[in-house]
Amino acid sequence: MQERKSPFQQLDYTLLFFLFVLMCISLLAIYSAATADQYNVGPGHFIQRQLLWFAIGTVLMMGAMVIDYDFFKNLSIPFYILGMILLLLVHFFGIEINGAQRWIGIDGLFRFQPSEFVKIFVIISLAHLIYQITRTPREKSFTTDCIVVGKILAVGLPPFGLILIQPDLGTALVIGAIIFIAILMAGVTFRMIGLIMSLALGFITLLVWLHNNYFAFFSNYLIAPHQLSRIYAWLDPNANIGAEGYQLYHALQGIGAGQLYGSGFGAGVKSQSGAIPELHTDFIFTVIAEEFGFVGATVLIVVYFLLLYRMVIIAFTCNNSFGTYLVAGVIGLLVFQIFQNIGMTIGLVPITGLALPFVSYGGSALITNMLAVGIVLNVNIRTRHYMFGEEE
Amino acid sequence: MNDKKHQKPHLPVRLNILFFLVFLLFSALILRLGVVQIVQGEEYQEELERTVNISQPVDAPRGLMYDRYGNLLVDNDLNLTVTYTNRNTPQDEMIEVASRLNQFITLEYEGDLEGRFIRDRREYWALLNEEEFLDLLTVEEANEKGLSDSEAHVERLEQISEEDLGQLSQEEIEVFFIWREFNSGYNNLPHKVKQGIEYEEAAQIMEHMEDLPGVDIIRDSARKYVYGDTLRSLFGGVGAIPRDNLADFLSRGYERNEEVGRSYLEAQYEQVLRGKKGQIDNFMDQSGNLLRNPEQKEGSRGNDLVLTIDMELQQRVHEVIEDELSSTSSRFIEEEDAFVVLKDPNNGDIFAMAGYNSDLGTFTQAYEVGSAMKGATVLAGFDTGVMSPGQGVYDRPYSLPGSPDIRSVRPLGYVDDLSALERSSNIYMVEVAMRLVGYTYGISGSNWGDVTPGLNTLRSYYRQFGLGVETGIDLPNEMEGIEGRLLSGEVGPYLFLSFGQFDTYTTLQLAQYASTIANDGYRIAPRLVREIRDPNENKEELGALSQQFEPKILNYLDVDENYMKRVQQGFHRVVNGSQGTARSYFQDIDYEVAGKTGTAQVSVNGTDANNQTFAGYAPYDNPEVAVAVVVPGTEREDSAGVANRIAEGALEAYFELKEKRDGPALPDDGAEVDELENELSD
Repeated sequence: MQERKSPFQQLDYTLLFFLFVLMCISLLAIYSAATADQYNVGPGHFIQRQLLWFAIGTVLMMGAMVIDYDFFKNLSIPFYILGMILLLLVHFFGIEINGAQRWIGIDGLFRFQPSEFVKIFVIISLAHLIYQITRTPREKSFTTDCIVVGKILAVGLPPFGLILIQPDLGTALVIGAIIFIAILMAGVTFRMIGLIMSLALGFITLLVWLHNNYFAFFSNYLIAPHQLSRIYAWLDPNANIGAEGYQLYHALQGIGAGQLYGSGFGAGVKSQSGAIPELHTDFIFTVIAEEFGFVGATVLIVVYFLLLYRMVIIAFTCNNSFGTYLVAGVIGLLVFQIFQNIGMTIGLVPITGLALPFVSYGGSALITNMLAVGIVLNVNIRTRHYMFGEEE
Repeated sequence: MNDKKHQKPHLPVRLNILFFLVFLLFSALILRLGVVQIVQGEEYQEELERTVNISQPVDAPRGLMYDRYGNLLVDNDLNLTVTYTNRNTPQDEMIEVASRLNQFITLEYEGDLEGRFIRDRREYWALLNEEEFLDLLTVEEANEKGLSDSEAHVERLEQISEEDLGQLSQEEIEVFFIWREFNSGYNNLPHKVKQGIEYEEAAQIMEHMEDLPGVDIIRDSARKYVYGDTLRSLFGGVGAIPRDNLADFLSRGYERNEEVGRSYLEAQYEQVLRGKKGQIDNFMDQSGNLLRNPEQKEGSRGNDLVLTIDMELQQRVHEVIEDELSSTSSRFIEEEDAFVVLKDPNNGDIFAMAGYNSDLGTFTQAYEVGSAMKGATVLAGFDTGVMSPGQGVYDRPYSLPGSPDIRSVRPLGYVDDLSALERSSNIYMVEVAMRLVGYTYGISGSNWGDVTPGLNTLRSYYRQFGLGVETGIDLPNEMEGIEGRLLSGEVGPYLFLSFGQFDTYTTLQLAQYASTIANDGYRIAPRLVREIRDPNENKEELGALSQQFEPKILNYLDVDENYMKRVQQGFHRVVNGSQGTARSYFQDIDYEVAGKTGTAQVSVNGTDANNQTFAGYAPYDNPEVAVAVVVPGTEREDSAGVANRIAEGALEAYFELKEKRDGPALPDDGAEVDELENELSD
């Protein structure tokens, strides 16, 4: 392996610049959110911690670039096994907080949420799996498609299931999105993809039908009460004030009142009123949209889009298909979180507890996402090395 | 590295699809954001800018009640009351607060707890003993049985034994009663936990307000009855809105936790008596910050009622009844009782309505009144033409097919309408009834046929006097009396109806009947409220007149003037005639009484008994008071005249008071409360 450029020179600085912009937006938004009525520790507390997380995240991101990503192939199975063991540990010995068993650790000392890291492990495992599947040419038929999908599901569903029963629907759905991207990238026919999507659609229809006709069964076995009320709230935020609709109702009011240019930094009437729970974490987008308006919110979304665009470019230019799969997985990871988080605050999708990548306050989600970016950068720096020898 | 050859041709396509997907999702976000912020933005902005006015209602006292001479009867006492506002508070916190509150106040409960509040006490026990409670039926067991959480909860509750509940300490039981009150209000509305607490208690609670979230002390008023129990039941009760009528009250602008009149006058005149609530307006922005000082609008007391009742007379009438019943001469088969109504025959004003056990009985209990109602039968005879004034019948025992023998007290011989009333001839009345159905006594071949038309005719006349219909008094729950049911082929009851021994009537109906005769045929609705007055700062004086009620004429007996005169003359002779059944009463008085005595032979629990009655009015020439007396269920022996004596005593009280009219001393106004009020507002 010969290197003609130092790793620093090969870094994708455009991507890093967008990441930096997101961090700035994050600090601004958290600062503003922390002055809201419901917090009494002062913004300094949150800003210091968030800066610390950014620092740790940056170090880990760099760490993820040290080893050639190609070596991840060798790690995929140990990582996967480790992830599953952690999830099982959570399942049997985890710490329960607010009715969900998501953490392991020693109570009071430290605890961490394995499902965060499992996301990365799943991306690596699935990338390795489809790399192996696509390495040998296969005859495209329904049968082989089924085998491919079956293999992907065999790897993806166990962690999906374990996270779902914690319960942590948000993270489980993220895993689901990564699985879907894997199937898309594995080269199965569009008929197959169409079939999977129809099945998903059919499943949702079945749920709605059960809800309407066998409500008792539906509510006792299929869905938790808080999830059901979140869906009701999503369908009609005004009618459900007081329950789950409360958060959404106030968030929507704040975002709407932001109008084109917003109310200005720290001047969001709704955001500052203390009426929106989880303002600095899951509902951070409310602050941005109310105080900086449609323009500010759109800038944020465009920055995300450009970040993802850079990743797509990296995936395109990568001449190692394993790398492409890795980057595709990370894209899936981020896109789903961004869409789900912003979508829920503006009433596009029901509420689930997912953070807005790089912007929401909080350590574990941030570190995971930065690790994921580290993997993308890893793919990028190794790609450039070979690009010089090629004529596209 | 051999990556190049593994690069599958599908990859760029798939990556493009992935990128397109990203593009689609982000477009959806921006589109939706545009809708929320730009299309609907202005609406949201307006909604946000709208200030919120959270107003707290301030209780206003209910209107007062005065008697016809302006004596205060029903007053308000200012109270200190502990309230609790349940803001979806978790149960454990509620118990915590309840036990702290228990250090300052105690809710008394008299008697044995066993068998009472079982469900509530079990819930309470479950909250105190969470782990033991869950052990009663483990989650696994519940799952096996396929029980839902709430079903499992109920199942566990049922397994809590009386013994378990017995473990509760005395203190825990005290807390239980407070906790129970905490739970019985509506969410987010103050619920009265204990009314009328001591000032010291209130002060202590106020000092510890911070440890007692949800608890508050308010000032409210409770009814005070100046004359004690006199007429107490007629005034009615005040209390929480009955849950059945909640929607109705809410639609009329009541608060859920408001107190309303629940019975009799309080309920009947709820709209009048209800205080006009004050209000504290708190104007806030969306963040809940007060924009300016709260604005307080004072409420005002509800309007006052001036009753038709003469409270002194009411008391005197009670004394008359009590004196009479405690005297040796009247004995009863069961519980002793007697009812008196004194009213103005010209406008329906009720001066006094008294019952020995309950004043309410005067219009909620009906009895056979016997001969007292014969005036109505005589008039029915005239108006239908089967009898004419002066026409006589020969009073002797009648032996009739399909009926028991009928006789008067003794054979009276020849009686006309006047002497039939004077001497209380049953035969004259029966003749009226017989002629109404075309039956002639003693003529062979005459048979009864259907007597129902006759029955209906008689009843339709009685009703025009108020007998057997609602009198129209301004009170709820009035009883109409019970119409006897005539079995087909039966004749006896029809004949007995003509002298008051079939249908039952209330004392109030009897008084309306007497009034109708006294005032030449106008049936006027009796009333308890003369006027509505605006509240006056000084409770000793009546406020400005707000509404005066006109007498309500329900019907007019449109009969020959002479007919009514004859009945009046008959009534006069009952008291003043040489053979009148009441001639030995009403002596040595300087007013002339007219009336009719009655003795209905009834059976009380299988024992023969008499209902003694009297209906009449005075003075004869220019009636100003009508009286009705019913003394039900007396022993046949030795009870004669009890109703007459009570009527005599009642009328005497009326005329005596009329002569020297001066009201009772005005009651003390409770300076203590005012002082307390000042201290609280300091």
